[in-house]
Amino acid sequence: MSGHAPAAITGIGLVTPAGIDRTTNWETVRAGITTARAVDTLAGSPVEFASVVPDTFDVDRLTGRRLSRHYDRSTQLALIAAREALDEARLTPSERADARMAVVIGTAFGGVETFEENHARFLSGGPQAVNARFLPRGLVNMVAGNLSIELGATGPSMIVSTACASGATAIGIGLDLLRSGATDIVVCGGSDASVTPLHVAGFHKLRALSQGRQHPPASASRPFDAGHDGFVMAEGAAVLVLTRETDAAALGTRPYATVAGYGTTSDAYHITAPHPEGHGAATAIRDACRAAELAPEEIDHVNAHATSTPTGDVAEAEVIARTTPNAVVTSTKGVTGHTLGAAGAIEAAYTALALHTRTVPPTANLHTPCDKAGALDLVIRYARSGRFDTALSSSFGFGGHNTVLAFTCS
Amino acid sequence: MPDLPSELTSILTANFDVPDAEISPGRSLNDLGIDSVATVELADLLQQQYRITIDDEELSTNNTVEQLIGLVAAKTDGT
Repeated sequence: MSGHAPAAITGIGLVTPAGIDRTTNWETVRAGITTARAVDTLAGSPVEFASVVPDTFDVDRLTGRRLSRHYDRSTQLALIAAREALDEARLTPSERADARMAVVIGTAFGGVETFEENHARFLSGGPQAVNARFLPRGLVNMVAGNLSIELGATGPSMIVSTACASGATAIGIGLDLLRSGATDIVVCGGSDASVTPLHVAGFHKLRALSQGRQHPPASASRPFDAGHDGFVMAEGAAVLVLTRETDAAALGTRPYATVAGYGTTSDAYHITAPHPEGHGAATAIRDACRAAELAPEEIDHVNAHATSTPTGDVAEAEVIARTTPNAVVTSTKGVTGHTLGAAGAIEAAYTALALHTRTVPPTANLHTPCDKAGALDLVIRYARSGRFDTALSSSFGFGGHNTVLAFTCS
Repeated sequence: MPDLPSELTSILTANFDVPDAEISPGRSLNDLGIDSVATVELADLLQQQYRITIDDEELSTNNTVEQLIGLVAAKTDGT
C-alpha cells in the first residue's frame, strides 16, 4: 500500500442518540428527526436536556451482564458499535486471528461516569469505598484496551484525544497505521458517554450549551440557523473498519466509501474559541484535499462540525464558503446533538453513508441561515439526492485541534 | 449462622456470574473465573455483608471455595 493509497471502509457500526445500529441511524438522520429530550439524571442541572442513546440500548442483553459490570458506558457503546462494524466486514475468526488488527479510538473524556461514581464514594466513604473496578473501567485508554481484548485485536491499540475532534483524529491515525504497513485491519472511531451533571455544569459555565430558552429541547440543536444559541450535550460511539482496497476486493466486500486522506492542524490561538479567520480549519481542509489528491473546488459534500454555537457556526461557514465553494453542506448535529469525542467518527460514518447512498441528509432545525451561512448550499428540511463523488467531514476541538477527513466513492 | 455455604454460593452466582453447578468445595476462585480484580470486589462484598474485616493476604484467587467458607465462618463466629 503506497503512501497515498485510500483505505476501504468495509464496516460501519453506530450507537448514537439516532439509534443503536447503522440502519436506524441512517433512517433517523436522513429524515432529520431530532433526539434531544429531558434526561432524568440531569434533573436540577442548569440544562436538564440532552441527546442520549435510546433506552433500547440494553447493555446486559447486548453484551452480557459480566461485561456491563466490567466496562464503563463509553466502552459499552464502542464495543457494540465495533461488533456491528466487524460483523459487516465479514471477517471470520481465523481471518481476524491471522490479520494484524489495530484499534484506534478517539475520546475526549474516557470513563468519566465511573470516575464520578467512585469519587463520590471516596468522598462519602473514604478510600475503602472505592470499587476495585474503578481504574480498569475508568482509565482513559481502557476503551481501546478493552476493545482489543474483546475483539482479539493483537496489533497496536491506542486512544487519541483531541477534544471534539478525537473521533476524526482516530480515523486519520488509523489510516496512517494502515498505510505504514504496521497493520492490516484498523478498527477506528470514537466514543464518549459524558452526559453527567458535572460535565453539563462545566460546559454550562463556559456558556457553550443551549439552555432551550428560545426553542424547546427538541429544536435546541440548530446548526447554521440564525436562532442557534449553544450546543446540546450528547453521547455515542461509531466504529469504522478500514482495510486496504486490495484486501477488501479479495474478500469480496463492497466498501461504503474510501478514506482518501486527512488534514490535521492546530490553531495555536485560544483554549476554547476558534481562530477568528479560521486559519487552522482552512489549512486542515486544504491539507485533507491535498492528501486525497483532490482540488478543494472538487469537493461535492461537506459534513460540517457546526455544533449550533453562534461563534463556531459563523466561523466555519465562512471557511467552507471560502475553501470548498461547490459543496453541498450539512451538519448532522441537528439530529444527534454534539457527541463530543465521538462526533468526528459518527459524522465520518454519516459522510461515508451519504456517498454510498447518494443522499445528503438535512440539517435538522435549520430554517434561516445564520451570518455567513447564506453563502453555503445547505441541505434544509429534506435530504438531497444526487451524485456525490467526494466529501469532507470536519471536526474541531477545544485547544484548537482541527481534523478534516476526505472521502471518495469506492 | 444460617447456611453459610449456600449464602456464599449465591454471592458468587449473583455478582460474578459463576454457574451454580460449577461451584464445589475444592475449586479455587481462579477455577471459577474470579480473577485478581474480582477477588478484591468479592472481599469488599463480604466485608460489607458480614461486617467483617478481610486483610489483603487473607483472600487470593488461589483460595478454594472451602477455604473461603472457612475464612468467613471464622470471622463471623467471633462476632
